Amino acid sequence: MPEIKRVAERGRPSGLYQLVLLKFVRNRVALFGLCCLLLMLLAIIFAPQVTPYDPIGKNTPERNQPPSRLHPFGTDKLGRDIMSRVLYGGRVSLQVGFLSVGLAVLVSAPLGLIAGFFGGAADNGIMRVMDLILAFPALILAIWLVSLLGSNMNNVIIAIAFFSLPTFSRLIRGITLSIREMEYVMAARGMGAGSLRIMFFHILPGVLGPMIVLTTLSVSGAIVAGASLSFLGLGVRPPTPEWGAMLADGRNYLRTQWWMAVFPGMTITLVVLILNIIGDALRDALDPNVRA
Amino acid sequence: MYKPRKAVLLLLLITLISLSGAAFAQDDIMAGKGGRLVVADANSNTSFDPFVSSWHSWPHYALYPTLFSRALDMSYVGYLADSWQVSEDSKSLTINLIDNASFTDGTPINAEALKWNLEKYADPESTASTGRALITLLDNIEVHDDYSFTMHMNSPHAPLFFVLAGLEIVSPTAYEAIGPDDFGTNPVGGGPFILKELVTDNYALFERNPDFTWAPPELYDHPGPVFLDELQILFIGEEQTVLAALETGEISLAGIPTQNLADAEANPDIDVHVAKLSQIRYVGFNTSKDPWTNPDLRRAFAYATDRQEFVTLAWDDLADPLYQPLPPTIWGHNPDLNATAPSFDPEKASGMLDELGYVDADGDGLREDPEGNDWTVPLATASPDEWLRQAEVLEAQWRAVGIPLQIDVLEFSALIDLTTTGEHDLFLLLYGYQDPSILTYFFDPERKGGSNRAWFSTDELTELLVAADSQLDPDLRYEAVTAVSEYIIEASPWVYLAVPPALTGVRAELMNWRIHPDTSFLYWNAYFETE
Amino acid sequence: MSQYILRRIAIAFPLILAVTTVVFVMLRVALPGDPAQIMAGDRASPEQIEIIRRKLGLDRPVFEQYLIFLRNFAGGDLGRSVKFREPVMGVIAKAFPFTVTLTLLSVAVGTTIGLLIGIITAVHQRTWIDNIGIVLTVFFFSIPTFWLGLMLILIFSVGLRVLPVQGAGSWRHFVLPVATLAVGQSALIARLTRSSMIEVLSADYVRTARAKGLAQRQVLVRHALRNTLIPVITVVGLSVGGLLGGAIITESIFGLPGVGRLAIDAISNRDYPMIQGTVILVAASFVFVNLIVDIIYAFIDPRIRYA
Repeated sequence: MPEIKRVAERGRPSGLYQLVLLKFVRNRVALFGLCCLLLMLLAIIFAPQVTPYDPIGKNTPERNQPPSRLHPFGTDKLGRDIMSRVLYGGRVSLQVGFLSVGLAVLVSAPLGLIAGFFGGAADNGIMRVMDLILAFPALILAIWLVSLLGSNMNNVIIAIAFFSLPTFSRLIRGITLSIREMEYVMAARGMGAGSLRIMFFHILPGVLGPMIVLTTLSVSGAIVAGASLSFLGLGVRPPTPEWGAMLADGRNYLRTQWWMAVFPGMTITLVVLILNIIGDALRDALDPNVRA
Repeated sequence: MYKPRKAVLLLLLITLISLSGAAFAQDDIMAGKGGRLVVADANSNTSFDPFVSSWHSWPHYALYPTLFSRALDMSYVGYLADSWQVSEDSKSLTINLIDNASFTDGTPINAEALKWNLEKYADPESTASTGRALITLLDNIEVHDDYSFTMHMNSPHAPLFFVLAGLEIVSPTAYEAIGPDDFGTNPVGGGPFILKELVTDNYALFERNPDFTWAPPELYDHPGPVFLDELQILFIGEEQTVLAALETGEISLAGIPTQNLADAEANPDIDVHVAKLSQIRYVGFNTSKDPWTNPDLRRAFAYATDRQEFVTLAWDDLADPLYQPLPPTIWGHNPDLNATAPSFDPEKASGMLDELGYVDADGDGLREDPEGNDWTVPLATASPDEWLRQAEVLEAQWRAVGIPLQIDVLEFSALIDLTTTGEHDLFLLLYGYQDPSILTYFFDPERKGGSNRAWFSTDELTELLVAADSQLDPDLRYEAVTAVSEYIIEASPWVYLAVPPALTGVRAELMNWRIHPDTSFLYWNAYFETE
Repeated sequence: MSQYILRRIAIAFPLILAVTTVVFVMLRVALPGDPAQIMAGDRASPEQIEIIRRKLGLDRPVFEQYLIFLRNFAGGDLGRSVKFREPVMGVIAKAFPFTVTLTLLSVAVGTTIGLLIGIITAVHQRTWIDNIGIVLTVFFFSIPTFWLGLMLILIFSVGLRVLPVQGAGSWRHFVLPVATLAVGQSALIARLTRSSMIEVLSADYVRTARAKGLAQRQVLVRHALRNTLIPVITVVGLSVGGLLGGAIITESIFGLPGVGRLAIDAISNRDYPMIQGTVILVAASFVFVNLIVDIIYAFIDPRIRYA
């Protein structure tokens, strides 16, 4: 009895969040993943303290070294320590990865919800605009952006977010369409719930599952896309390190200096893996049907 | 030189008989030889119409013969030309053609056909770059008889033979019948091969021209036809894919990436040929824009550049450092000039920059401009990995003397476009050519907004260039070219960086091949053994 | 429904025209680079570049160029490629069948495998099977295409010598490119299917079905799978639409004659007619695929109405 009272006292939302948090924390794997991610973030933020090497200075005698105690990830063509470059590169790559996907979700979630929920003219209008973006050659748009706005990280983030809008909104719209017709939504509507209320409290939670999956996977896509954009001049300037660019450059050395691509590649995979595990745990935690 | 009709007939008869005799002999030497030579080319195809595009790569020379060719000692030898004579004033060239050559549509390669071709190259409306010199140069062509003609020129032109060696000769009859729109996909020439199949942007397949018997003897063991049954050119840019296909034998001839040289050399299935390209990499300054108008500033950059380290870091020591506008692989290069050219001297570079007012005022290791504001030196470069690496090496070297370089990565088309605006600063580029007259294209006052990307010209340099281009005597021309190089070194509109390597991998099964000093592949003697 | 389809098709034309128009103007007005300059080569003088511009009709006012383009387009003529000097229509028509084959094969393979993995991991949610599933799918998803393609070449062509490196002559040439494209596709589908399936499996109607005593397999196929498919189909549709415009990286790694290479080469050479041709193709593919996706939505879930 006191249990119920306490929940009632704190009000429903806080109880819900507490439950979600509790369920999340109970998931050992996810918790471990979260710790790893935080550790990585710390190493990236305090890169100058973690690694003694300059990520952009050349060092001719030390070039093309395989991994060793001095250089755990080896060195590249210019003799730069790859671990330092991975750490410093994380600053750019993680920002690009997270911010672009975040921006895309922020814009596309309402669009997809509105299109799927209201249908009709709203649906047609929004989705045709998305078709237009999809049908437009990304490469031309990117080259054009460079010449118009110049090259900096914010533009990279905007460009990647822009190109992922249609994917996200189409997905959200599709799920919204199917949830809209479910009994519980009908019931809510029957009880007189307003459109906004239905959208936020009944449909959005249903959309969250697939969205989390797509979002967590998209981060790696965004990091690699950042590299392809940097080939067009829309990206961070060399010699500033960036994971995607390191990976792309390393492909020519897969057979001779494998460490040049493998370590940045593994870092991206690791980040995405952790994100997915966390995402899954979050999804489970948010799902009222899964017991803590 | 009038030939009576009967004589022509007789000649034809004799030719026929001798040809059939030759055919017997050829059956002997051609027995057990053949196969398909598969070549990888990173550039995809353009039109096969030589008046439209200048794509002087494999396919054009497989399809079309030229008047002249270059022997292994780089001297000019006749291909369609049998003998020739330059007039006293160096303004006329009389050429006697070989009389046994024909186009693949059966029409003869004669003086009229050559006149038609040369006049078409000289037409200002022609969009090909190879023949452009003829537009202003050629006055008229006088045909003497079926196989001899004289080119009359407006002025003496030293690179004339070079130009003529690059002009592909097409069948005028076929060109007029097919029309300029479709000739590019249905080419008719008189070279060693005939086009069999073209998959645009993917591959071109050629088959042996069975009638081809006019290969220049200085270059080839036999007059033709070629031993190979087919020649296929694959347009693949991905270097690691090409290397893999060379290892499996799908491709018989390809360039080897620098980093994979050791592996390829260790592979018993692949023969590796190492040479230098007739190409250079350089950084250009836009000399029409401040502060790059100041030659001392440009020279300071040259002193700050360690070419030896540059070739080590960018090419694993396989490239050669370069200190002058012409590489050793282009005739006219004078090794004595290296001593006078700015070479790596960081103290001198620092001193010069200090003197010009570029000092590190705030102590961050990077210099500020003479007004004390933040200084950035924008370097525009194209985006392929190799280019970025070179830019990164320069950035590191120049940062060591306090020059704050900012690398602007552009797509290649955008980079070229930028250099024609005159708004640019520094640019990293390359050129590849076989004749010293190339420098005229880069420092011609008329070509600012075109190929004069450094926007550099002076009256004195123009005079020197004209003198070099109109001097036909090789020794005097060499001196004139040396004077041009000397002037350009002193003015420093470019920082010369390196001469890149040409690493060619060839399947061990391919016999009797050879690589020309100009790094082109001589395939006419080559063959695979067949049963 | 048929009225809906008709209306969608009617909308398609203005869409394609809109995309083409924007690209047309953008190429000529805002994009650095010039086809005449590329064609003229690195030794050209400004006058020579001007001659080529005139020959290509690029010296005329943009509006006039646009009218000419529209007139030709209406007559089914997309002009001649600046670089290849061949009719754009013909070049694309030669490459498109290959691209369609590659797309359908790789999406079919990828989706099938992805669905299977997704269902298995969802049914065995939070077991070791599920965990292995996550690690594998994420690993394969985050391998960049160029890496995977190169690794496959090194293993199967150079190492084992069982499959060709490049080209498109036989079915054997398709194996590695299809595998390269299918791996990423299957990983994405597997993740989506799993998540969507878990959602559905806990829904009331599935629990009711279970309570009724239906066998697991029946529940899965008859009730759960159907509803799982909505997000999956969305993503499959997007992949098909994207790949029909050309799998640029895969095509260039395996030296394939698809439209992706054409598109990227056209852009780097500023081959305006060719760019326009590929843009129209991409736009049309997307419109077509999206239409099919929407129809399939309605087919799978009859409750989705089209107002």
